[in-house]
Amino acid sequence: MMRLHRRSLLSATAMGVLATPAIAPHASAQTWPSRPIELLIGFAAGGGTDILARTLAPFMEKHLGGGARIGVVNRPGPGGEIGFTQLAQARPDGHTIGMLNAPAFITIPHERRTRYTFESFEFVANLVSDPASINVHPSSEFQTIDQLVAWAKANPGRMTIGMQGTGSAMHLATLAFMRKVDIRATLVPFPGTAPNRTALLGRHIMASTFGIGEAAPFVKEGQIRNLGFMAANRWDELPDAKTMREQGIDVVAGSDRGLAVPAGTPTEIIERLSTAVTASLADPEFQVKAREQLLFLAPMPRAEYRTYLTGLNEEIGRLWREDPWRR
Amino acid sequence: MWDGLLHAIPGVFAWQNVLAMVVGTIGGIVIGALPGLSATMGIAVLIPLTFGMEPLVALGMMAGIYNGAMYGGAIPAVLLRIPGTPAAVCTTLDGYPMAQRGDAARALQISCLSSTVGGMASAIALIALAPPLVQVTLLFGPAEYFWVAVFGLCSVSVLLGKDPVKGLIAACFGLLLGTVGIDGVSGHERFTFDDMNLAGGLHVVVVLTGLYALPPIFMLAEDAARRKAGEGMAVLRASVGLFHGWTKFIRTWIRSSLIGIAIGILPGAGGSLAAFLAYNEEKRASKDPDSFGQGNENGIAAAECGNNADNAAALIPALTLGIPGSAVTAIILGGLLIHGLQPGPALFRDHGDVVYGFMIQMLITSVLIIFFGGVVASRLFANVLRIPSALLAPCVLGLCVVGVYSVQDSMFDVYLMFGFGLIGYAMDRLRFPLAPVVLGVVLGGMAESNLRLALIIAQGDYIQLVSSVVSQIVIAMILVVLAVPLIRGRLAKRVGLG
Repeated sequence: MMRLHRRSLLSATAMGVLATPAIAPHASAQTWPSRPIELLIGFAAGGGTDILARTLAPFMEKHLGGGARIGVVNRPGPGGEIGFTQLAQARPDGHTIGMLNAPAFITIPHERRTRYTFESFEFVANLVSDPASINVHPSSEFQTIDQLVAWAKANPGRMTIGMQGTGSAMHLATLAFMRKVDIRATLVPFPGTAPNRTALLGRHIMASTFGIGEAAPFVKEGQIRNLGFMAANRWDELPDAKTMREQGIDVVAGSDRGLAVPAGTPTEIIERLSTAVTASLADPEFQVKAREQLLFLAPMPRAEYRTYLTGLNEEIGRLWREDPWRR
Repeated sequence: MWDGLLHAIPGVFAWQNVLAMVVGTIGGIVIGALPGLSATMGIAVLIPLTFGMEPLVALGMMAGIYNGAMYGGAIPAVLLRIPGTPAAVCTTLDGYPMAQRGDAARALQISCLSSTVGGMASAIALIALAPPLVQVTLLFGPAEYFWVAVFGLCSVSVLLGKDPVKGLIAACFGLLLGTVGIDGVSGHERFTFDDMNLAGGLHVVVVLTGLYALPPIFMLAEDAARRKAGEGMAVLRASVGLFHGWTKFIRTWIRSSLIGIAIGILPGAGGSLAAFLAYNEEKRASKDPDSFGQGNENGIAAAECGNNADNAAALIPALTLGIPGSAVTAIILGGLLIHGLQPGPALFRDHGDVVYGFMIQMLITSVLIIFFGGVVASRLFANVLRIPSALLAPCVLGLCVVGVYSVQDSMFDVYLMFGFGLIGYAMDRLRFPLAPVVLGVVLGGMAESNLRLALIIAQGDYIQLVSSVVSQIVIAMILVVLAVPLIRGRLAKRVGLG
């Protein structure tokens, strides 16, 4: 144990030295980008975030212009933490950008000691969201969300709702929903969306929360019944699915993926990146790919994204202090 | 189904696609043979390159890598007692003793033939039986998975070696290693020492490479120091033909293929469990169980057939329900998504030609293993043993470092590997078996998290763990596996006394 401890101290020091922004002349926004831009993501190749990054990169190159090159770099680690940390510690010269998964990157510093904080980043723009949705098996007695809520009220704590991992976006969304409609239920934290959805298909749980994008193919085929999703507006890909709001439950929650740079990156560069994101998302060719991959596009330019994340950070901080989801 | 299949065939045999399968299979065998590198990693590296390709070209390469790597893992397992992939652990048990006897080429041929048979059986199950089999998948909830994991853990009994106490200690060590990291159910960190590198848990490939690959390297180095440099280790006997004496494996192949397919359709179990169970069953059914671990040919056949039979079957829930059962199937689903193929119920209807094409590719790449594995690679690779130890040791070490680094692009993992290497060396010297450690790492987490999920769902009611028919069947199988050796022992004693 002593050895391990010393080694972790050593590696911490080593990382600190490496991460200290080198004393170099300030990157000039005029000559940027002077070399390929690294797009850091905290998840492995082949996952949802990775595919989004690799789909986006060529469009960003096109709309940044000037022969800009973007390379996706995977730094997988627990819940994305290693990737977030590396982004926070990278040189703020615009040659390292990264994908932030909210609320994951916000919750981790509340839950445990981290080497980055909310303030380590400058936010560029949001790309896509995945609003949480509540689903049941088609054979379920619940036809509407009201019926589900009524049953849960009549049988406090007896309803089993599956979700992905303690502290995950879908967990927080489920908690927000339960608080709003004032029910108690048994939350079942599966190790990922896939086992959660499988358990619902096999009727091992009564209801299940996952992203509407991951529900869509099954809802379309009638293998899953969607009772509502937690977005502000309906979604073209699944026009019959109702939002929770229009069913009288005012809750908007889910996960978001957007771009960020390390704090201290020149403002001009951030602005250029943000403009390129907006142009990429509006690109018809990108929109075709987004539809194929069932991405819920949620463009948010720089100022709006910042305000949104700041609000989310305050809300999650308050939740954690009042009623931590992990005891 | 026939319509879909027939439509798919012309596409599969277009020359670009045949080339893709060949390249994929050869690449897969090499990737699998290198310790630390796995099919998951090979396909992950490939995916960004497939953006511009036709779907079937990309999928053909993926199918080749997937099947090839599962066989490739057997090559270093036989030659150096280093499993190239976690699923090849059981192959070391009999493959290495055979290589020591000078029968390395024969052992590789058995692995190759068995991999092909397992892979083909599995691909046929995928093509013909996907819709009914996927219904079986859905019968398994957390309670049922818990029992499957326990069933797998029971196979520890054949891995214990000569000293059961040491074997059990090794298994417990594996279970302990499996608890490191953030616990998904409660969200708490366990044994992470506040280090984010440990928060994600210990990657099984890192543990495996450290425990298995480094001790043989140390021993090669010792060996080199003892002997004159420039001298090879083993005597190589000329191998008999590839198909020599294959009839004696028929029973083994049937049994192991069925086990592999059954494990394949259960998401989350994986090729390692298939190999462990197939090996266990083979030993249990054998008339001469004591010869296992001494270089029994059927032991190799069972392990290699079992792990390849897991491959295509694991795609059944992946393709029909969008449920990836393992890291590698998750990556393959990602690859499908890039080509606009959304996995799930509509896939077969909307993109039947591509999906059936991919299934046929799984079948063909299984057969390709015979050509590139059996005819070429076995002879080529067996000559590795002619390389002088003084050269071989640093080469293998270099490959291990690169392989482990590439798992998560992490230098920390390389240090971990060296740490486990020292532990593995000590265990080897103290005659502790290594296989139970891997079994513990692979299955401990699965057993634990599913037990807890099942109890959460049952709201603390233990009876519900045994209430479903599927649970009862699995429990019955566990009891049979545990009871048979006892009864046999009794009978043998009685006969001996009489």
